[in-house]
Amino acid sequence: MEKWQFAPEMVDSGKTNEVIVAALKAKFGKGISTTKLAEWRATTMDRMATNEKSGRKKMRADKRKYIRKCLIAGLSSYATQQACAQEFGEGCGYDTIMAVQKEVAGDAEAEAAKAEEAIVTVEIPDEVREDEPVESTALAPTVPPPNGSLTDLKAVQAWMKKINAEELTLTDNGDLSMLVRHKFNLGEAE
Amino acid sequence: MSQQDLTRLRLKGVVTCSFARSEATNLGLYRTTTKFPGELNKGEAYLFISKGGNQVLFMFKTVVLEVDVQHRRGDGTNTRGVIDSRRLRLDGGTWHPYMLQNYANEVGIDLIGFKRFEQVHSRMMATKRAKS
Repeated sequence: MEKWQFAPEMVDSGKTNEVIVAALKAKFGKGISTTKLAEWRATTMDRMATNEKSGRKKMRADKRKYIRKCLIAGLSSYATQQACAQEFGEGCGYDTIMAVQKEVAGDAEAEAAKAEEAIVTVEIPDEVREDEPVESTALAPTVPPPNGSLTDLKAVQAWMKKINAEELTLTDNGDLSMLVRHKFNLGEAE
Repeated sequence: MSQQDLTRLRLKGVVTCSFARSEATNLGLYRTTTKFPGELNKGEAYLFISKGGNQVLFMFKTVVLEVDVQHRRGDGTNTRGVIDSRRLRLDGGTWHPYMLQNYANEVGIDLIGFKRFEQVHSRMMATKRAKS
């Protein structure tokens, strides 16, 4: 190992200047200036700080991703905090959860809006539609028969004309029912 | 095509969408919209109209087909959903809602509750004559 590789390693390991100089003298027969050591030390500190910073940054991003996953899965904020603590060894702030929650809701809304924009429902004009047939049996059960009886055909015909009914459903004993169906033709009977 | 040969179907939804996307994608997007009328049953159809208005596509209930052993899915199932549809490319011009039944008849469908263009037109003319 060269001197320029050996010295920075010793700086990194946290040795004092005296120890490093002594070690270099023992290994290579020559020491090193304290100015040079101070420079290396400064660089090392910077690098360590940067590493720590980027590590922290990465962890924060990972944590955010994990929170997002938890919230999409439908976990409550408390459960998310617990899950985060288990996964990363430390929990997460309520504000962070709220911020991520907002993002997730925004995403869902944006996705729905995108779909709405992509697919536009068309209203078909009424002129194209066929006229709805009148439900003939709808009125009969709700209207009481004339004089409580259905035996007088003329009276029944007049009553049906009055209530605008085309079809009547009744049983043999005169009660309204859906079991036996009799059709009355108003034109033919008259 | 005679009236007897036509398959009677109920139109469940009419939408315009980009035909650059596949039918499956469009159907998936339609499902996510708020106005989605629900999945198709037998005897029902959706009508997809291209953004340009020069193509109409009738989409029917997804057919489930059995596939052979070699084409099985990873989970071991041997059935596949297949989208059944008929598309009309209009030669010039764009679609018109009054022509819906006519388009449907062209692809062998009789839409329940819709009039042909001729009927709509004659009704409109009659109304016009009555007014004047």
